[in-house]
Amino acid sequence: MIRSTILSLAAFILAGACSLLSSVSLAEASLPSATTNREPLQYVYAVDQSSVQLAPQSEKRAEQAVLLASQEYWFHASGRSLQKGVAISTSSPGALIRVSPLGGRALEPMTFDVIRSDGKVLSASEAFSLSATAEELQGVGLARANTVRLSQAAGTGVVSLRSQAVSNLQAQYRVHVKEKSSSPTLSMSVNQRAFSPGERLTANIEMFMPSKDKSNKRDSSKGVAQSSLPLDEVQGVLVSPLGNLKTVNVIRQSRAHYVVDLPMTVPNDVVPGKLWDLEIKAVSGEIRRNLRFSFAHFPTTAATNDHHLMLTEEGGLQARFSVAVSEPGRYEVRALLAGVNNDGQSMPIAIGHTAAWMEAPGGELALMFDHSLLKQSGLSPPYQLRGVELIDQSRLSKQSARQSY
Amino acid sequence: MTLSVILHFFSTFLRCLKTFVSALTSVLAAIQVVTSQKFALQKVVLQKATVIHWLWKGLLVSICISSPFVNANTGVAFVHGTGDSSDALNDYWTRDMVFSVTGGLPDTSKFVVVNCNFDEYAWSNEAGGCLARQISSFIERESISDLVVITHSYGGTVMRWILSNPTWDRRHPVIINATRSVTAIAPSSLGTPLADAVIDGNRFERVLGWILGYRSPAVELQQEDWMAHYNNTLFYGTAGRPALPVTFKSIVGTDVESSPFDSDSYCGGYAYQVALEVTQEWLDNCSDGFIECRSQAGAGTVWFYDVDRTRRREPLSHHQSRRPCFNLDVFLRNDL
Repeated sequence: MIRSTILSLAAFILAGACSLLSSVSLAEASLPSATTNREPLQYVYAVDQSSVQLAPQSEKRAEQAVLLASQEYWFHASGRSLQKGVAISTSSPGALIRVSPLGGRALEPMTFDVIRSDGKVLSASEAFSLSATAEELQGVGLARANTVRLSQAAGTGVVSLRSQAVSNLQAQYRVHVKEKSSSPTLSMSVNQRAFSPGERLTANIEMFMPSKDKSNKRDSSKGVAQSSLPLDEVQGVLVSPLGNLKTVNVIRQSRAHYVVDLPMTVPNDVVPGKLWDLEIKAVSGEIRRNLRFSFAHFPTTAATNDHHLMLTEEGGLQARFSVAVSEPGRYEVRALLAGVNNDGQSMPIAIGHTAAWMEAPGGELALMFDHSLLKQSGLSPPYQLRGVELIDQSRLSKQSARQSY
Repeated sequence: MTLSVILHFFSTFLRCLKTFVSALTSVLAAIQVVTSQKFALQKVVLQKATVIHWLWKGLLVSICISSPFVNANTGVAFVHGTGDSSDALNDYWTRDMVFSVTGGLPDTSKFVVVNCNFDEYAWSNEAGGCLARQISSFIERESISDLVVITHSYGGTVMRWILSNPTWDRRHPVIINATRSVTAIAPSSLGTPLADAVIDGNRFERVLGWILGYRSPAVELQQEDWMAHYNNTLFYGTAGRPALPVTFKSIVGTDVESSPFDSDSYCGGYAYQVALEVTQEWLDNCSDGFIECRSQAGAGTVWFYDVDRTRRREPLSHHQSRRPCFNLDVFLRNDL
């Protein structure tokens, strides 16, 4: 009788999860999997009660906006243009420049010279205050590139960097420039870091200049006043995990403010674990900046809409989660078990993980919390599961996280 | 059976003796320092020191008798950083470093130096799978019940993958259950801007970059945006996320020194220091030349910042932190 009741309850929950799943348009094609492990596994460990701050139970997990800043830019140059000299625009002294070959050998720093904006030619020893060869950088883990720092003598503004050692004029190089101190900063805020199909990516783009005028906007991270710079050109491109590029429409709000508003559809390019990139290039007068934002965009493959927590005959607790899936794969549920202390406060007891391979339309995942664990915590009922997360281990993507810890 | 009991007892006795001798040496060294500084107080200090010495001895014997680790079989695993390693003992850590640290083991043969392909994602079979296989084999082969894992750089991230994902692989719980602590030297817990700098998003490098050495999956994962995403989803131990199931304590390298006139700049190799001075330019003011301090301190707890403990308060560059420089090996040895 009890068993049949539990079975009907499970069927009911599964049906609910299935309907929830169908409402979020699941991926239809068979997707690649990062794991082939089909063994069901559970793991539970006690947590230090002071290590997790539990939020009020009703609090929904809020996606946090992401703030990005760049004082860098990069571009590609051919061997021919490097031989003639490529324009490097700097707004403060001491810019770092990294020249990497896209194939072939790296150019040695000592083969470069710099032509200043007033036409004076500086040798490498005059133009660079610091340099490292590709061989030296290889030793510490940076492959195939040199790095130099422009000296005070090189000045600021537009200078020309050229090398007489280019042997292949058709070769391609990436030139990467970074300015660290008090230079204009391209800033982008994005609404969140991970997107499901149906959600929108919205980004605000501005360029700021450190300002002495205290009435101007403040950079909260540094506490310095800054003023917006008008932008002459802003371009955006979306890069898929497979390297497919798509131009993004960047909308002008004002001379100094642009936005990106991207509807996120069901992705075609799915590589387990790999993220997408939104790349922004902005120009303000002679100032150039690039910025890259990596984000998760995986198909919806599973859903869980409820769980049940039952006392076992041994005095432990068993949690059961109904999971509806559209794609074969390994799925995991993680949750924090909380109890109540003498003051009536909800406190953490343990974190549990349970995973198994599932085929469509899904099934149930169970998680056992032993009696000894409950006793050891010194906490009392009512017990609750907090921060339940559903993970698609095959795609390495979090499918849902309904509540804060 | 009887023989094994006798051997176990003998091993425990030797360990207690070793601990006692080590502590006695420290006490005598302390007395020497005090007496050399304050000769006039030598007699008083020595009398006090004698009392401390016998109290200390008594305490040690008590600890030895009652310690839960007396019956533990302690082992240590060395986990290298980014790269496809086939001989990490010689190429990545050096024998001087490894044997200095393992000198602190009750049985100095109980160690493993992991060799895996850490050019791959932490979750890949070549990286996390290989690490799980090598450590779990070591645990099983040597019956290790008290494992200390020492990681460097990206090795800390791969280890954190195992600790955060116990249901990924049946070997993960075996490792978690046997591990006393992970000492993560200069871990790339929040990524590094240098990984961002070597990655470009164009199609050419997306497809071919791995051949050119720019865009290995490990470098890709260590970009700051990537680590921010995965720290918030599949990894534990960073701010706002659940704690890891075992202690994960980091040693943070704060600077790079490369003066040709300073002999300390030659520890580990002067050329590395020069290169790291340059890479440091891409980073915050506080970095070891490869990873910023905030990233190294971004998961678990900070055991110590280099200059707070090292000899002459010398900073440990990203290269020196895998070498026996400025007593680093001694701290690791004494922690076993």
